[in-house]
Amino acid sequence: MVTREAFERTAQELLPVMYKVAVSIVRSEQDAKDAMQQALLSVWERRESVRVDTFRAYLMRIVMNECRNIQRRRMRVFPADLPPVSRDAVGEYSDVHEALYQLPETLRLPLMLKYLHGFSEKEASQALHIPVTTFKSRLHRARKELRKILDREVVFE
Amino acid sequence: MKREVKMNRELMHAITPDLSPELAAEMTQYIRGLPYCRKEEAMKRKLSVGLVLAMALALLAVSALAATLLGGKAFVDEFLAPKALDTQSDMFTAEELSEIMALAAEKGVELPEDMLNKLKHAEARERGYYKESLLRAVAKTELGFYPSTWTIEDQAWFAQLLIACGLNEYANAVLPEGDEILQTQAEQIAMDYIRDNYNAEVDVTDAALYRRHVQYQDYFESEYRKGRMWFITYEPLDLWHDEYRFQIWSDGRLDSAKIGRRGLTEDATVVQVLYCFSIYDDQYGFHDAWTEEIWLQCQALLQKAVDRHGYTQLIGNDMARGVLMQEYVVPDGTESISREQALQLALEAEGAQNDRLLSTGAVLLKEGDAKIWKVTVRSYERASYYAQVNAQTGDTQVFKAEANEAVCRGYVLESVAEQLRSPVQAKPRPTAEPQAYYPAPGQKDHWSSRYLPEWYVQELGELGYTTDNAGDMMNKWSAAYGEDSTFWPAREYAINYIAHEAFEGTTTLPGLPDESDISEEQAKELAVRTAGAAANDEVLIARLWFNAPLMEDHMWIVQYVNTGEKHGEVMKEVKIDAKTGSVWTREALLERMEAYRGVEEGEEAKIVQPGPGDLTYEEALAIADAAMRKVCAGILTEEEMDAFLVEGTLYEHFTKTSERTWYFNFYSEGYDPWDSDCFVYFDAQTGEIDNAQYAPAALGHG
Repeated sequence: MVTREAFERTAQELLPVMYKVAVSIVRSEQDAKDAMQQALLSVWERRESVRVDTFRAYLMRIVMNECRNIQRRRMRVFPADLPPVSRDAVGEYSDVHEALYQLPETLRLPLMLKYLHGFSEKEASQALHIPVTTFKSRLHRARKELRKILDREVVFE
Repeated sequence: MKREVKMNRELMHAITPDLSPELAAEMTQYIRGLPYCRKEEAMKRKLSVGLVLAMALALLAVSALAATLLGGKAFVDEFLAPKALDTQSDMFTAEELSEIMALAAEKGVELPEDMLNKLKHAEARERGYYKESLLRAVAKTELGFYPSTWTIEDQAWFAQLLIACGLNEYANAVLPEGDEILQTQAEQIAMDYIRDNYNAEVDVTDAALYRRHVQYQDYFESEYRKGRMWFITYEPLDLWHDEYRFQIWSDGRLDSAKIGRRGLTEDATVVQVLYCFSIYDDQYGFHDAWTEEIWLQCQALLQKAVDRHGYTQLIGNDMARGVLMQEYVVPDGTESISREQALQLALEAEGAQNDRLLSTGAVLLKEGDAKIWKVTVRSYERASYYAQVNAQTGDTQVFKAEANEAVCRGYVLESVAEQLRSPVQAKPRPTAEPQAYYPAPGQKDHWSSRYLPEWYVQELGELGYTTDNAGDMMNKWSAAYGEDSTFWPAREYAINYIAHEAFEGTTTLPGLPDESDISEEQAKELAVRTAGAAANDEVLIARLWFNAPLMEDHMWIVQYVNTGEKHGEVMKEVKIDAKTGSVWTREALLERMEAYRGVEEGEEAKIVQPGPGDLTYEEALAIADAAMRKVCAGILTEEEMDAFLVEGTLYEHFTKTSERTWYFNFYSEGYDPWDSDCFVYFDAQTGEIDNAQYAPAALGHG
């Protein structure tokens, strides 16, 4: 069971990541907000049956599920443009930004989970609801694809 | 040439859209508001269940109409579950929610008001609602708020129901069968353990003191750790008792027993006090619902903790700091403005009288001589806000909620909250000036198949392995051998490792022995002779590694892996040269590494000029080049080797084994010589090779 304190702390800690992941799927700030709110409410209601050690992964998984529900409802196959990213922040890495969003979702999400918040392979695979080995495989392919799109060496730290 | 990119956390944050400060603030308040939904629901649930039961009993007694009234569980079984099967989505649509709410009313199932509010909210926004959430929420109206307190029969029923509705793929919750111990027996084991080991004079069966959670599940961690297990938790309901948690196998073996030190003691720290007070969450509601008496009790215990352990206890703990800085006042009836009136004034100040409220709270505080109501308002219609209402004059000030505000802001004066305001974190930026190094021509793909031993490529070919079916293949092996690949057979382990774990560039890779290597059985025998037999709760796992540094290419690592309490942990390991069978003890390995490092205590290696008896630079380069080509064969192409730049240096006292040593670095254009792809060093007088390795610096082997 996840206590209120743990819920608040984890949800607060993951807010930026939840948003980035949600936006990367639904590509709209309003939809991302809806997805996050619905997911948080849903997870709060189920918190008694959630294990503490898998809570972060579980929360991310529900956010992604909710995003897909929104997509389904909107019949949105080709989503709207991404919310803008600060040019100051992206700077010389605008091609990396573009390359990331060229990746299919199945490859983009493993990369984001791995590098946005340092999710362990186990946690990330739980969040994506796939076996650890599949996660590794997707991460491997994502890195390869990113290098291919960028035609530029990418060192993954 | 395009500059290399370093993908790391900073860069990933910078290239993905940021949460705006406004949305961050709104979401923060939303998160903080969620607990109030549940508490209201929990309280109303009790009323609803009582009401439904009373109605049902009354009607049963007097009328056949009672047959149409249903409990939550029956409503789920007979109506919600079939309805959930109508569509494949995991949510009910807004239209379906309307039907469900009408049907619930018709069948006499009183959904808690808060749940109805949520459903209406979802319906109004055409958002739908999770099927699983609604099924569980309705079941809870009859079975209790915490599913782990339901009977194990009800837990199993619900797990199977989710599968039947397509909302889950597997059910952990099961029921005891055959010789498996029953719940009463499992609980007796737990209680005996508490009595014998914790010496606790405590009655965990006292429902006023403890909430009992019991689950019976099919548990699977690996081949060595799986089976049916009882999970029992006795959760204290007050500040003064500890928590007990047990895992007991179906045959009555105790798997683990843990005590959660939740009970407050005389020397409790600030963190412990706040942690223990979180129990009030269940007893009295979240902070909004606390009375001034509870705040004062919390404050007194915090003060005691600080007095005992010092003010450093408060560093980084805004909640405790805020509570201690505040003067709480118990209302004595002399206030002109009551708690309810203060709330009303706060709502009017923002025109929120008709809002659907998530929660509200008010606490009476002292500011100078004045008494001030600090009011918190959380509603579905607007961002959360706070108000300070003068308890004598009714003067009202409104304050907007913000991201990164102190968690205690709703329960302390604004002036106190201001002092606690957290600094806003700087926005992440990409690495300003990445430490770029440039790939050598033709070396873009550092981690590609060039490292792979031929054996691996052949195996993959036979398996029909592609990147597209890799996931399915791994899933199949996970299902066959367990999630933890430590316990997989050597062949599957090696393929998994190389395909999914080794792509960051190591050249030491697992595989299978060839004919000239000692066998797996021989390796294990040697390990046992060296380090002894495996203990009862250990299993020997031997892996062969290619390209092993410090070894002659092939190395066996035999690990003693725990299958008991420290399941999966490597307790010790033995390294064996797979060609010669010589065992490398830890001491021997350290000694050899020390020799490689080449610096003896008191004798710093120094660069010298070739002298009489030394190989000339040209002679040494020829030896080094030949060695480089030998170690890089099969990894790099001839063209890539030709493209290397080279630097050679003559050292004195570089290794323990040679007086004078030629050291050659083969490196790529754009790199520093020490960031070499290959290095070779040898005795400067005899030309005998001491070490030669392909170890590209770009892959972390520099």
